[in-house]
Amino acid sequence: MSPSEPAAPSARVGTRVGPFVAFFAVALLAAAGAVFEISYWVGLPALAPQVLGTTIGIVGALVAFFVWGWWAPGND
Amino acid sequence: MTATDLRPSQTGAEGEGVAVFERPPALIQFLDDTEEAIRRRLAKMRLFERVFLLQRDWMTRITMLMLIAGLVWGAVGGFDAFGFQTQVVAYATQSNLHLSTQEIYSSITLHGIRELFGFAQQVEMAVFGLLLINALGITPRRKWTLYLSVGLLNASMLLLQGPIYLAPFNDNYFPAIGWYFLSPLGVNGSSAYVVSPIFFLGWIALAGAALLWTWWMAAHVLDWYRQHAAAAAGRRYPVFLWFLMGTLVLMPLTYGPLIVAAGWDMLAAYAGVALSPLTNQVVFWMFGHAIVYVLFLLPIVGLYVLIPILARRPIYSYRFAVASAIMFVVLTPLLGIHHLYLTPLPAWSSWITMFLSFAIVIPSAITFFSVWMTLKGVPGSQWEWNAVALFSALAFGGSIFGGLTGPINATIPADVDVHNSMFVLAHFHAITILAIVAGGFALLYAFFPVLTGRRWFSARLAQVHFLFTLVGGTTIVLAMDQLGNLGVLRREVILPIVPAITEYQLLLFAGIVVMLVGQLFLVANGFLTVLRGALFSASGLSFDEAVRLAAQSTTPPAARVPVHDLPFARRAPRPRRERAEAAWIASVAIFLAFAVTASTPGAFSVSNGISGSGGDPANTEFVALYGQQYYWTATESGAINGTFDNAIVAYAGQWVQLNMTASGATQSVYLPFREQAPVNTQVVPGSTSYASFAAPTQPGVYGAPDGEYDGPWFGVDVAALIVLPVPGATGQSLADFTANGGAGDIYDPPVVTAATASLVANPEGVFNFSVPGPTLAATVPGAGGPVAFTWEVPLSSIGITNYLVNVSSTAANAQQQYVIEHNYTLPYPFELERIDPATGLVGVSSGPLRIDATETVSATLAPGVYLYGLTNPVAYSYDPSGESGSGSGVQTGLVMGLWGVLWVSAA
Repeated sequence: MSPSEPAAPSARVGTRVGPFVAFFAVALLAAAGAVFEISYWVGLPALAPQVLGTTIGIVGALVAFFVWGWWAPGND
Repeated sequence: MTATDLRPSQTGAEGEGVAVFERPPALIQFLDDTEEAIRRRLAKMRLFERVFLLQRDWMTRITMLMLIAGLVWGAVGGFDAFGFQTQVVAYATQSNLHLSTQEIYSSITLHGIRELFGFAQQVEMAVFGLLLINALGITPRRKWTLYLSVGLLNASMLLLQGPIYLAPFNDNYFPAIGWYFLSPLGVNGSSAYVVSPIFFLGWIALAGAALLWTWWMAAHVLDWYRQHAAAAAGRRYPVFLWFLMGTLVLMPLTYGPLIVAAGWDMLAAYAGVALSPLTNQVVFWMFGHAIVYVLFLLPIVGLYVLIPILARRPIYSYRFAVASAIMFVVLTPLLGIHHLYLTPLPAWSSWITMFLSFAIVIPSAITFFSVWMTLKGVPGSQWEWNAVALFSALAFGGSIFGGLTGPINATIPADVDVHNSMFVLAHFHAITILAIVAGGFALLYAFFPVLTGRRWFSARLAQVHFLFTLVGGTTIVLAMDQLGNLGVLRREVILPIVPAITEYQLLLFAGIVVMLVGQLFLVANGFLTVLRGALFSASGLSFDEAVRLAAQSTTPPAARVPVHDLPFARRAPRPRRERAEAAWIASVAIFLAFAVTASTPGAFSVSNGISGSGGDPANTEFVALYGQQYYWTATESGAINGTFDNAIVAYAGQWVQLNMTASGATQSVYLPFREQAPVNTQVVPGSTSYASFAAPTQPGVYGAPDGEYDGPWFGVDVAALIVLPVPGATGQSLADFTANGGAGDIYDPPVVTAATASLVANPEGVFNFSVPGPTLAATVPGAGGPVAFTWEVPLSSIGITNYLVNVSSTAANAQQQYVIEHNYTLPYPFELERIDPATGLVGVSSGPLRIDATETVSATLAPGVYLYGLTNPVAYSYDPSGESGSGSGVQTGLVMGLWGVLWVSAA
């Protein structure tokens, strides 16, 4: 195929979800993984006080990320 | 003069459209001629011509050379990690190690050096150079400056490896002293880990390479500015260009401290100049931390370049993105001290660094929000999941994953839990593998066809490469995270044999294998592309269309979308978008402020506790710990008095005050409790560190590994906190200690019954794969009774990796031959000593260290706690080929591994 003959979009392509949602899912998975690892420390009563403030900060920021991202006007 | 002697001036006014010709300097002429002769000769071989693009311009050739060299170092570094992990798994499964401790230590050190600098930095330099030249639209110049930079960088990788002897082959005299500079490491007269000067020259060469490249880049920017000064002001430049400019600022701020730290070390080692180890470490970490952010700019630039191209629309918020670039540059050089939280630095300096470490979340928050929001509104029909998009998504997710575990490390009180553990390594590898490498691959898949003039050969190979990298990288990070949560230290081979640790080490190994296998698909695709790939032409296409066309060759045909630019008219005005971004950033700032505020009391408590003692309650056990590189000497006063090697003794629940000094090497005391607050303090030569804690209320033997990276015996140098039952107290049995899991300290030696125990030394010179050896439990009547146990050091356990025999020979089994010639006896006494709270250790019995015989220790003992084995360290020297010396490196030390505790309880 030459550059002047771009591939036509297939029907399958046309029905896909947009990249915004896909990246949302990627971010959600990554955040869930990180919070899962951090939650280990929060689950230990003797150690939780050392990480609790930072963990609340992280989780709060994550919620804000997804909320503001969903609410914000699109790039169009 | 012939026509070929003439060429455009390197400083001529080409921009003014006037070609000025002059004779190049003789050296340049010579180099040009030599290069041309080599190029022509190599170009006759199709493989070389295709792979190294020998028919292309010099800029393309050097860029390709850097990419190939980067991938080679990446592969070598990957196999370093593979080699290291094979030994970890072998030890965990109680198999023999086939590498020496020296080689193992070398592998993991050089893994980091090769991946960070040989691979990541080289690829970054290649890609950023290409991007700058194309973005500015100028003709590249100063070929030999770039060549010199590339040559120095790759030469530095060889120098950092240290001397290699070819006959007999020996590359064990690697000179790496880890990330903490100090040469010679060790204690005068007792241990030494002396590095070769080649090691320091390697660092200097690396710094030279980076600074030369920076100059090369900056010179082109200046060239461009001189040519376009009038039109330069007020223009809007691509966001990635701001980050490229930021890189040019950060490079000198990063490598300058490296030159100072390495130079200071060299002067100290070879000219006797006084050195402050703590100050030197502060300077070193200005480099050590900043370099990670410099490399992190690879995925950042990748996302800022690629996402707008793939989305066919500009970045969501230009001004915020530019602010992010500026903040990265301002904050990056200031964070080094967060690697030194547990040293006795002033509390205010640690707190400020903690604050700044949280502050650098802001530019990352801007970046990842901007990148994500750039995609908002892009219909699925316009989006193509080619390898560029897939790796961009991975870099995006990896940055979030790695970024979120960063604040835990940056929180001073939490750093006590995780410092130097595999948790830190998980954070770091999430950033390096899932963000930096993924971002680098995204850029590679986008620009390789542009560079080579050929489309990727196989979309399927690219997609499989992504899949393996995703699975392998994620597995590596998650396994490291779990190991870190258990309290496992990084860079360790000699680990506790605990099922959970073994399982996650196996999982980590599997991740490494998947990751390495995955890269074969990239290499295969790369070769096939340059040899058999279809021609790539960007004729008639815009830059963005060309990149999309290049990326399209990594997508199966059925999933492709047109590459052409589309008209774009924004509906959401800038104020609305910026309001959303500002709201997000304000939210982050509020949560970060909360985190800093909540952690501040703990931060000052930890820092002040390390820097000074005081406020100790009555009946405190005062312990003066003196670091001897591979072991500790503890001198105690209080309820317990005496001097012990590698053991701290206290009563259950007693308050313990450690006063710690070291000479020659940084050490740390690490008690990875999980049922109570861990103890974790670094001890830097020339400074005094303190630690105060309540001993566990459960009597038993708690492992206390040295958490620092101070020589190849790392992993053997585990001390013990021996917690004695309070006299007269009830309910404090050793069985309870075992049942309670020793406050979660995984380094606790296993408890076994003395009468049935079978103590067998392994090739690392420890009993039953445990340091200290298993705790032997015996029960006698209250007035005392007979106790017996057996031990054995098999002849087969003696070899070059075993510190018990010092024989410099390349002959096979020379160490065993030495034992045979010395009547199977080594000159170290196998002791049985009682811990007497009033005076310290009291000898009970002593016998020769017989090899290859089952020995029985039998005595009538009163209830109490005893030490068995080699209760004093053994002098060791690693010198298999007689090549030790100041030029090669020296490894000697006092090592203590063949010992344990005998716990005799009253019936």
